[in-house]
Amino acid sequence: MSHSLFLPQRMEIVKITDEVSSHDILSYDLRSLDGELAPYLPGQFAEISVFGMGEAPFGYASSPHEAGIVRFTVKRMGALTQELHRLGKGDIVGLRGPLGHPFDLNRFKGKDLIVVGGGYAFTTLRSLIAYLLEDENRSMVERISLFYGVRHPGLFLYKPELETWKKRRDFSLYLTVDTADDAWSGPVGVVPDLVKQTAPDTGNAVAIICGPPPMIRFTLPVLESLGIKEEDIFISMEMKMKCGVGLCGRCNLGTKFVCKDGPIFTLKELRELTDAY
Amino acid sequence: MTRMNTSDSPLLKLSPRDLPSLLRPLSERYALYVPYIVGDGVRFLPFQVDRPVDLAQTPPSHPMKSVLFPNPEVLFRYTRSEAGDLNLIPAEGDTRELVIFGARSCDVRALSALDAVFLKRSVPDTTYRERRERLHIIGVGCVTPADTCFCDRMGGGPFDDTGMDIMIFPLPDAYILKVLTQQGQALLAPARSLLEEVDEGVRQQVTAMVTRGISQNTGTPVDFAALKKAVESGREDPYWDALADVCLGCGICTFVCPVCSCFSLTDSGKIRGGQRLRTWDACMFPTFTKEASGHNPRGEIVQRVKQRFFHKFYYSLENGEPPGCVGCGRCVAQCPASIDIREIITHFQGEGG
Repeated sequence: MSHSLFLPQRMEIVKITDEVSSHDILSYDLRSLDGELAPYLPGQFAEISVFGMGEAPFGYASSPHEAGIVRFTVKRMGALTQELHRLGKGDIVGLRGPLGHPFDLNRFKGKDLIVVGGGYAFTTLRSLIAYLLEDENRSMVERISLFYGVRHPGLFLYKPELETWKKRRDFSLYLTVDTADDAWSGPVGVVPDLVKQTAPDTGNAVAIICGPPPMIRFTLPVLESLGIKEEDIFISMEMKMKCGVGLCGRCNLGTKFVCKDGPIFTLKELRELTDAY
Repeated sequence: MTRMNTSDSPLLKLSPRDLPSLLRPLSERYALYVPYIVGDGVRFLPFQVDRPVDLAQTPPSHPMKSVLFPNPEVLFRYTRSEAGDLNLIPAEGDTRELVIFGARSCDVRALSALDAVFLKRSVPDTTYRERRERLHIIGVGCVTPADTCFCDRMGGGPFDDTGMDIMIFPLPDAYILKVLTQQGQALLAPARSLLEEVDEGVRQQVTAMVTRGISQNTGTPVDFAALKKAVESGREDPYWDALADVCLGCGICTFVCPVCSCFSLTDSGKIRGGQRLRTWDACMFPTFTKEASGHNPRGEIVQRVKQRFFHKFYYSLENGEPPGCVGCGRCVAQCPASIDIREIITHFQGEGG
């Protein structure tokens, strides 16, 4: 009998990074114990097993070029993530992936990118940005503008990396917080307002958006007012996905399955599937 | 499977008292599943010597999908040593050929819908495929369909032998077997001495029974294209709210449905060892889509009721998969709130089909 489609690859936790001041978001660098990792691209996800608790889906936060490891950033939410947060370096988890389709990078070629992220959902966008900022990929797209907002400054993910990105000349980084602290000198306000005030009206842009549903809802009209067409707005969707391959049924959204047909959909596709946007 | 030209294949007679002698040798060569009475219902279970098979309950209360899509199914086991080393041990499946005895036309026809999901929709489901490729079916015609049966409206019929290797016509005093495939012939080889070719009189009895069965139609055949269109444009119909008001969300409709195949993956066990299970799950349960954050995209029961029927009569068809209903009527018979899928079809499509 051949192995089940659902048999994961064993992964050792090689590094844990405490990302935010509330200490409830941790990044895990994982190394395979069962042969090579299957190649993946930004936008894809994997089912991570915490043996005894089951599996849950997480977007890759690492870029494929970060050889030897994959990184997932996990917020403590339910029973599985709580148990995962109890694990330490050297502990073993499982991985099934990559699942879903990556960002369709061909659709980004020669375009200006407006990347919009909010809160914890930024993880997938980190993979995309890190990938595009690599020397061999940077020329694929024109201007990259990243808009990223969180509730307060302590909640930014990947802070050392944001500092590095800030210094780059070929990349514009716009950060905002709902509530400032003493050290914060940047803008205060919600992401849609920041996009409205600062996004370049280039006439050649595509937008990529990933964040809490209200942020998405209020940002979409701003993007459309910049003349970005609904087929050029890419949204990374989340739903409870168990199998990850379109069989178990729970992420069914109209005629599509978020796992196997997504998780990235254009606004045009989503409007045909649901009345949510 | 090689289907034979069966128009003039011989009909073979088996005395009901010889049925155990037919099944027992089969059970030695195959993983044999037969319908057994359990409580008030009938389920397809592994054959046991001296336990009487039930061919009376029509259809069996539990669909035969459980043979191909077991609930639960162990996918793998995990063990963790004191030192923290973790091992994954894939489940050892039964590698024998499978035979289901006593399958009904509705359940066999439902296999095309299960195949569409597990074999064709995306990556093939490995364990389903292994069972499906090794499956042989001895079906039985339905002489006295239940009040809730409506397979004839859904493209089938009580004596539809599509997908079977052998079809049994149960006459009052004899089982008449029609061999439909070469595999069917092979299944009967060890029991050849129990079977005798029937004469023209019996042949006519069978023809009369089938004609009678087919003539007892339960309504106009459903026009699936028209139903799909009606459901699609009826998304905001207040009828859904009326259904949601009575639906208990118990999910029995999905569990007894031969087509429904949604599942969950969970771990049972502790840190030191356990197993990953695949279990049947249901779009009717709020937990099906509830996320760890508490957000639930189908949090209202009316959304779940719509999801079930939209999937059956719209999404499947739009995606080129068979309709999600074969007319077995089990959900009608077993719904504690008396929700009747036939009335839903009629509401959207009208009596005219």
